[in-house]
Amino acid sequence: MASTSTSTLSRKLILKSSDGEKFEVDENVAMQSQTIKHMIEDLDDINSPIPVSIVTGTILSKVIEYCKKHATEDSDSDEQLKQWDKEYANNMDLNTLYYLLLAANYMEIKGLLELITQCVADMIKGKSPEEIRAHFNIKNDFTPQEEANIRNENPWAFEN
Amino acid sequence: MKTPKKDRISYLPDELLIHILSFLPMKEAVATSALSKRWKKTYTWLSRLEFDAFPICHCQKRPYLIDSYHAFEMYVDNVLKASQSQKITTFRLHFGGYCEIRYPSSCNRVCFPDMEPMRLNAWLTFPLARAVRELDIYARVRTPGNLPSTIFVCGTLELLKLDVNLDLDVPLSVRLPNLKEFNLSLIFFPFDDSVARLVSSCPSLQRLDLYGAWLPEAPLVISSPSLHRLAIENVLEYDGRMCKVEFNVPNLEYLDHFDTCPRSYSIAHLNALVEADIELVEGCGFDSRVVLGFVCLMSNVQHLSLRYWLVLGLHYVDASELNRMLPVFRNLKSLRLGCCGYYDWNKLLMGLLNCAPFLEELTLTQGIRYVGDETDDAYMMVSDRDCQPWRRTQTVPSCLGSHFKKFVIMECYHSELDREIIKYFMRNSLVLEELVVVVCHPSVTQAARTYYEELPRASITCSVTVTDK
Repeated sequence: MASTSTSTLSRKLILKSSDGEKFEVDENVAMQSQTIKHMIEDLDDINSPIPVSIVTGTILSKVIEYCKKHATEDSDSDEQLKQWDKEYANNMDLNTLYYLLLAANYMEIKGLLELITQCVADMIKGKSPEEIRAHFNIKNDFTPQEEANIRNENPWAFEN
Repeated sequence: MKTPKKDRISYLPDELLIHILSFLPMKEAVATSALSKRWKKTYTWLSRLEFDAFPICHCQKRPYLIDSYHAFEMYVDNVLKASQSQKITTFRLHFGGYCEIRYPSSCNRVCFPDMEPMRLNAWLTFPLARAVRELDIYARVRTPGNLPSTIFVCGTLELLKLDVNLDLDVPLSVRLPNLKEFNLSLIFFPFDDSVARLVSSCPSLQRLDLYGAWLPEAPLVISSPSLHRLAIENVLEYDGRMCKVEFNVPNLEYLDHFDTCPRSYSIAHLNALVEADIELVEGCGFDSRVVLGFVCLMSNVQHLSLRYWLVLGLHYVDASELNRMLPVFRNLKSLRLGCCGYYDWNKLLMGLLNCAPFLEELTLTQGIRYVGDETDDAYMMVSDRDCQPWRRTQTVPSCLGSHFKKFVIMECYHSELDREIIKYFMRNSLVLEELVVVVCHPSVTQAARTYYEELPRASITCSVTVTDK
């Protein structure tokens, strides 16, 4: 890789979403994605846009928002960062969470993946199967007998 | 939040769905099997298995939900049968007793569940064949058999926590090459050398916690060059017999030692020791040479905490012997001392400070005067001894002139002795930055605050904080 730039910190990268939207971001922001990090290593020209093939512009902008926040170290305390994470996740609707989860998984952004996973798990926690189905709109495709069998097999798991 | 039109979560790839379930308590993860066919077997891929029979209690004094125990057994059986994960990273199994007192002597074996040995064996060996890294077993059974000895030849194991009333069946050749942390609680430690053998056969062991009773017949031998942290709590009630302790832990950095019996210690050099917290209860307290000998081994520590009975033991040492025997604690930065009610601080406090030239912080965790009453053993023991007044004319320890920055007195009575000692430190500590006095009753807070804030001080920048918690 040519080392023309004097400061590697301020290098810019262009990320291109699946629907063609382009985002210019600092390298240290993008590098939080292990996937992008590996892509850059193989790249000859860092000025050409890096395709993030399965992520749409809407979702990618949210991913970048997260990465920006987590790229600037020591501006916030751990406590403040946790609070920010919480608000960030709470502001997403279920559809967005779903696509963010896929994006974080594909882009290998560990912190974001853990955050969204925890957020979805918290939605399940403390709910009965009926409540979970209603929350996520999961269709019960068991016959009543099948469902009863599952519950009877493990009564310990279903009593509270 | 509005209900989405589509069920998205069910269409997540397996790995993400399993990942979500791994954030749930095990019971709730298993309960998702009733959601739909998509979810029916997802939980079976979890690599972290945790079973806890809480709050079932078999104790006859306060039985709770005993009838549900069968459902718990069935649940563990079924989840293990259904499990498809080739690797179990963590296996936690807790059952059989939730008494308030850890080892209630009034409880007998009827207070524990009656487990078929075959079933228990199947549970315990399940993770061993699946590359388990963390194993955490709490088990109380009515008819205790042996722990499966295969636990001790599990090459993948990194963390092992055992709190059981089962017998250790340590095989002749132990193979735990990756074990880093071992936490063992037994009601009575075995008479033979099995624990010693176990410990010395773990080449990667860094942390060892032992809790239980060692009978005097059973010497306690810990030999491990890799060990960094050792915590021992012996809870045996002293019966007058002496037993042997042997430590050979040259790289130990942290030592937590709580013992109730007098022992003959044979401890090889502890040159790497950074922090030690020690209590030698009653029995040891009266053989002052044992106590002093133990403290002398700590000469390299940076942080030293000596508790209640140990401090009493040190009080019994002659001034001349104390001064002759105590080593120079060249690295000691912080010292915490308990208080047992024997009030001659002149000898002990000055003796210790004179041996700690670089001491920065002193905390008297139970105050300067012991605040006990007649119901207290220690009070009865020391009540015939007079409180020795503080003698202001002694030579000032060198640390007060150069390094001593923080003085904390907890449970302060604000008695005359308290006032005299604190006055002495304020007057002679040239670089003191902080005096913290926590009084033991709100009624004296104001008087104490006024008094300590107005004390003349050698270090004018020293802050004074007086609180009642």
